[in-house]
Amino acid sequence: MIIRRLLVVGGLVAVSAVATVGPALAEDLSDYLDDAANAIYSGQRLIGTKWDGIESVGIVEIQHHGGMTTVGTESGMAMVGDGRMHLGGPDEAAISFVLETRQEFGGRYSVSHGEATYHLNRPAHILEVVEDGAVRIRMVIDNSTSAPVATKVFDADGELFRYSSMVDFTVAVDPAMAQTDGREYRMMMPLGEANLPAVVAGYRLTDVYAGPQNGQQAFYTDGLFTFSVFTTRGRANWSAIAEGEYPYTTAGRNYLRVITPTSVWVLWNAPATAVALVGDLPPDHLDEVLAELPFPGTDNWLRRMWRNLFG
Amino acid sequence: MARLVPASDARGELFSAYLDGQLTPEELKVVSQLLDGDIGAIQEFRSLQRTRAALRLLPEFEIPANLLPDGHLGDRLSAYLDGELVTMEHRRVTRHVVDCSDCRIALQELDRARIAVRSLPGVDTTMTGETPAIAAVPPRSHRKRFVAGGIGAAAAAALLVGLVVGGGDEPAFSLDDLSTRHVARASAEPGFAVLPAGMEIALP
Amino acid sequence: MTDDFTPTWEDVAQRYGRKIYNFAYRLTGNPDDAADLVQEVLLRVRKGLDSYQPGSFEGWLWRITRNAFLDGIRRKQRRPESALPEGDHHSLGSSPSPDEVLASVRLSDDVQSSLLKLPYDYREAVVLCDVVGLTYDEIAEATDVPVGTVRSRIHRGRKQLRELLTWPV
Repeated sequence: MIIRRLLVVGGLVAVSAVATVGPALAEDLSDYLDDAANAIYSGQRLIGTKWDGIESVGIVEIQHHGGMTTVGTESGMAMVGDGRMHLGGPDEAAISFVLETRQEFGGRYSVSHGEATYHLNRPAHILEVVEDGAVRIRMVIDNSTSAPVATKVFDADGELFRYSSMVDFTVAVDPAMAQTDGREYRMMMPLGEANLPAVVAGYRLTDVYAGPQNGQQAFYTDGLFTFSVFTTRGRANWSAIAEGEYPYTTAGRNYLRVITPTSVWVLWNAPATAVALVGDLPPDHLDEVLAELPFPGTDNWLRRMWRNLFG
Repeated sequence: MARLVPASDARGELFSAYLDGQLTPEELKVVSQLLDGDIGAIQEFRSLQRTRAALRLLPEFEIPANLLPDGHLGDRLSAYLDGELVTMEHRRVTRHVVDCSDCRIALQELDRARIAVRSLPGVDTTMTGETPAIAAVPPRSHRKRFVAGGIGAAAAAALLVGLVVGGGDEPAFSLDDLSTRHVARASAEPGFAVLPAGMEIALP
Repeated sequence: MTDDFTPTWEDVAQRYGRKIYNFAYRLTGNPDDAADLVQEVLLRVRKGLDSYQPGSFEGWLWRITRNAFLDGIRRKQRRPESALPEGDHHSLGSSPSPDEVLASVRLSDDVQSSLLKLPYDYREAVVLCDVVGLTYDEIAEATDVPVGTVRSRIHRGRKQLRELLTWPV
């Protein structure tokens, strides 16, 4: 049983009708995402995931500046953005991804603007991301910075799946955080071909990189949510590798699942291949994706022989 | 970014466009009239003319040879694998490898040969900080899942090269490593701005 | 490049590589950025040639170049004004006299550093016109603005440049 700190978060969002002229609203989601990417703010963010009765919550320090985010907890910090990440101090790992293509924003989502509101006493407004007529994400957008000060992600039944909320918010960052660090990033090596399908349940494979354990990292996106599928030859001992994992069964197939405040990891072995999926997609998407990726299973000699004999 | 919008300089714009050969016949007539006996206008025209000339006389550089299609990698492959190339060069080689299957095959073969050599008994296998290493599975009780400080030195070294050779029958993944790679790549996507990133919380 | 003719990407590299390189160099003052841009553009051209419809090839190419450049800008962290290379030590063509070399180096350093001080859209318009040699229509197509805007950006860019240059113009 994983115990996380569970904070009381009542009263964070007060909805009230404000009859003033609102900010210029983004024409569509991609406009808003651009604004959000460039927002400058810092503070503390509460994040949590609720899935099948399991809740995983945490709180982090955030500094968001010019497309880069610095995230810290008591254990240390990481800086990430624009396809790069570096951890902690100058001697720690720093990686960078070369992007071969600029993806056009997917047509799966549309945006609907909701009422004006407040968050932490700052004027804000609601923005809803709609998928197939149902609200997938509800965001509270700070009017002056366009920062997403609160976010809720719903599963297909309208149940809350993931939430985040700034519990402390400042329109400023520590100048030291905004410094270019002159660090050398190691490029992750892009590969020419993938061993996975180009489209999986509405997600498109955009690039493939050399992955750990002499395998591959295949990156998928649907324009909003993303996940990576790591594959390599062999069978991994996932129970030994993971901690706090839960068994997960969907459509009669068995996997291991790890739930964290911000993402989901699904771990399994397909015949002769170890597979790990890491991403932030909601549960119904995840089930659809797993149905189109290689299934868990063994491929022992008996089964092969059986197939050869009997087709 | 706020910027003062300059007052329109219709006359100057005509002069610039005249110098670029972009005027309609009517506009040409206007320019002739403007320049007719007006010292100020003539001075402005000449000044623009000199500025434009200064720009056009900027030397045109030759493109570095390695950017042209024939620029294959040759001996830089070894240096690339050894992590000896500085970032810019490393980046260029990576881009070339994406495109050039010949060099990609050469890179893979070279890497295999290096591993074979290193696994020979008695060979000095001291590695620089940036050569591949297999991520060891840390003992359960010490494993932290937070990204910063939670990655073992071996996994960090693996990340640095981005090409870990090893695996085998029981690949020894590090979940921290997977999370880091995914989040780093996802950070290039627009949705990253609003969906909270995979920064895990360390277990006590 | 005539219409209805689709070049191979090697053609593109040979014929346009130099222009693309100089476009990026003059916009950034940085030879490494310029080299990166050429790589990126050639990559995108190579990928895009499959779906390229014969038409205005140069317009297509410069749109790609410009988008690649802007993507690169967004990707890099903000950095202080780039240091200029020591003199213009790339090849200059026929060899001028030492005095001419000194004068032209000083002048071109001055122009380059002044260029970097212009607001981006003025700088880009001036570089596309005076360094790359595109017409106003071609620039309008590449930057997706009306010709009138191109005209005023070029002029304002030159005017500001003139004010920044330290030698009497």
